[in-house]
Amino acid sequence: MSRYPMRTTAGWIAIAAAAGLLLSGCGSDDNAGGAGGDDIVLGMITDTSGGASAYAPYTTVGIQLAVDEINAAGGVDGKQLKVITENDGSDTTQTPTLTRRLLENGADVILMNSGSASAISGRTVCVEENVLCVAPTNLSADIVKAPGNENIYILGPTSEGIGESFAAGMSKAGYKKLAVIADDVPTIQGYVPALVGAITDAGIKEVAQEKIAADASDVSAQIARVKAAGPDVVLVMSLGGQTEALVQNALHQQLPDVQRFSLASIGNQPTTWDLADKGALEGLVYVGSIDPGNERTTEFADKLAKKGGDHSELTAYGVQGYDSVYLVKEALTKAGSADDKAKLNETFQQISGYQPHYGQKDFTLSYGKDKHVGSDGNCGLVLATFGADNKPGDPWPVYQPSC
Amino acid sequence: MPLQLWISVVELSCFAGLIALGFFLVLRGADLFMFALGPLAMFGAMFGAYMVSRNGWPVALAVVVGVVIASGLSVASELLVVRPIHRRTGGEENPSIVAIVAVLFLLEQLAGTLFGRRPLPGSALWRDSFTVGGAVISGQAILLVAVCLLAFGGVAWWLRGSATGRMLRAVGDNERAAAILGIPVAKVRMVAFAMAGALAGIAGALFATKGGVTFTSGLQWTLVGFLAVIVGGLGSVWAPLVGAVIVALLQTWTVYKFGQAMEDYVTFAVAFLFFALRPKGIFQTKVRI
Repeated sequence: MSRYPMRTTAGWIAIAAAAGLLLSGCGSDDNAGGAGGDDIVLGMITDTSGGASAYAPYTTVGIQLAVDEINAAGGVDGKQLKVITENDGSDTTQTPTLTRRLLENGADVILMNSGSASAISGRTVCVEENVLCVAPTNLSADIVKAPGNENIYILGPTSEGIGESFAAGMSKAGYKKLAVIADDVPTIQGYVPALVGAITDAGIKEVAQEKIAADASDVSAQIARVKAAGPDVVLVMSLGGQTEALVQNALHQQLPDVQRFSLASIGNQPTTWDLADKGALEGLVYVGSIDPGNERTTEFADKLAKKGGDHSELTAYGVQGYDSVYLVKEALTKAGSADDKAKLNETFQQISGYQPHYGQKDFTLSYGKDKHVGSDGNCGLVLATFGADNKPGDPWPVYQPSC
Repeated sequence: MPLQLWISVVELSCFAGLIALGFFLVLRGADLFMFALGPLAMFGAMFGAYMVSRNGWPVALAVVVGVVIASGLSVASELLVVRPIHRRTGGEENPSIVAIVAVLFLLEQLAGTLFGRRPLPGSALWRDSFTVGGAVISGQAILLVAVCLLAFGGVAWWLRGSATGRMLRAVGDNERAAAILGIPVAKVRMVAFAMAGALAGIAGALFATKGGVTFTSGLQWTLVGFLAVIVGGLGSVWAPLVGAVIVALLQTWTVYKFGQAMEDYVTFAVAFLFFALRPKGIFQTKVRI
């Protein structure tokens, strides 16, 4: 070879890579345009290209279903609801800017449909602009932790509630030694202390904690470390997608007799089920929010099936998106309009005993000045198992959370 | 290290090695780092997975067409992007590399638009798995290793035993001299890009069954191939595979011993050491005078 320019090219690669990243989608705007004066505009931060893109589209479908339904029934006080969106790609540095852009484009309410870390990053804008913000699917209680939580709400139960449910279930099943495998994205790393803390507080010893790179091609080494620690139960925490499939495949191969638990991600992502090896998910217990015995869930499922199209499978994300719009509608109706943002925030805090379309049948959502997590107890959660067909099956017979 | 991890090392080495072999061919034939190889592997794999899962194509057909598409896109990169820039800049390398990196991101976004932004399950040609000494070996992993060895052996033979292979080495050594001698430089470069794209397509199709493939997989796949060729060098056809084995072994061992947090440090340390102390890799090219 005449030249071998490995050293000189490094700088060019870095420059081009940075330029490419800038061009590759974060912050891309798929707005339908600015708001019309006669519409009530729901501005949605979503993720169509990053870590949360595995589940955000399901939430979007639920949101749109509710909007279509409300509009078909005459809207809110005669005004139609309209959704405008911005994609933050789960890049938390983009979220505040994109939230402001939504507001500049006329958003009256913000729906945070990206990762929890994005909601935490964007919530300052909610307070500064005194705008009502709702994060339908996010679990982290840090999103609504005071101070600076005056205008932001989640539906819940939170990661703490999930931790409590796992702790109670694992204790009842008699597990003693826990291994944790978590992917390294900020949203999941934010959940780890809350969940693992609740489980270890219940007397279950944590014998291993392994981190997985979100773009990992192989997880055998981490699984071997977990195996060496000799756990009798493994908790997998990821945003779902490829990482979850890789881990579940490896656990199924290397620790076939050890009980596995996972988050809602795996239960709510039909595309992830296909990524797992045949039968690799069998017996996995995940924390979901779909109770086949809840008539409201069935009602929602029927509507979703009737609508059809992409992402119309029944998932908790879709239901939570749907419920978030109805919660906003209730607040809008009480406030009389979206013009007085402080009043809209106040009326949202007056919501009490709302019966959502997910969770167990007695589950309700209520808000208050100091209650920014809607769930009235942990019965918004359902511990369910996967069948041999890699699809969610029966509720876990050992334990179910109660309110 | 448990046997299961050695199997992973072999599997990862073959995957990275195939992409690195693509790097090797383009470096030898066109004196250029073909950074779009990872996305080409991703594109071929996503095409195959999409056609199997959405359109019910037979797996073998989807894989073959995916490989052909990866090869075609690689040739298109040469004809439509690299060659015009190469001509305009008098063969200067940096503008071509920047353009290739732009192609990398273009392919990612194109795949996301065409095949969706959700992960797709890879299409396995051999679904069986076997347990040996307590370790599980998938049929697909055996296939990957077999194809990898065949590809390296085939390329080694082709470079030494065929006229086009010898021309490729001549063009890579000195493009102007090769042109003066009447070697069809443009055609040789195109062959290098076509073969590299095909190798990437094969690697992607065989590896995607591990945990699926998504439109963002390409950059990571480029990096593993790039690092393998940096470590291995260009002194032998087998050098990229040696580099891939070293990198895979080091990364797997590091994670097993110290956890995932150390992996990036070790990877960067290896890259830094080779850039600084042995920029031509372990197997260096020898020029006869």
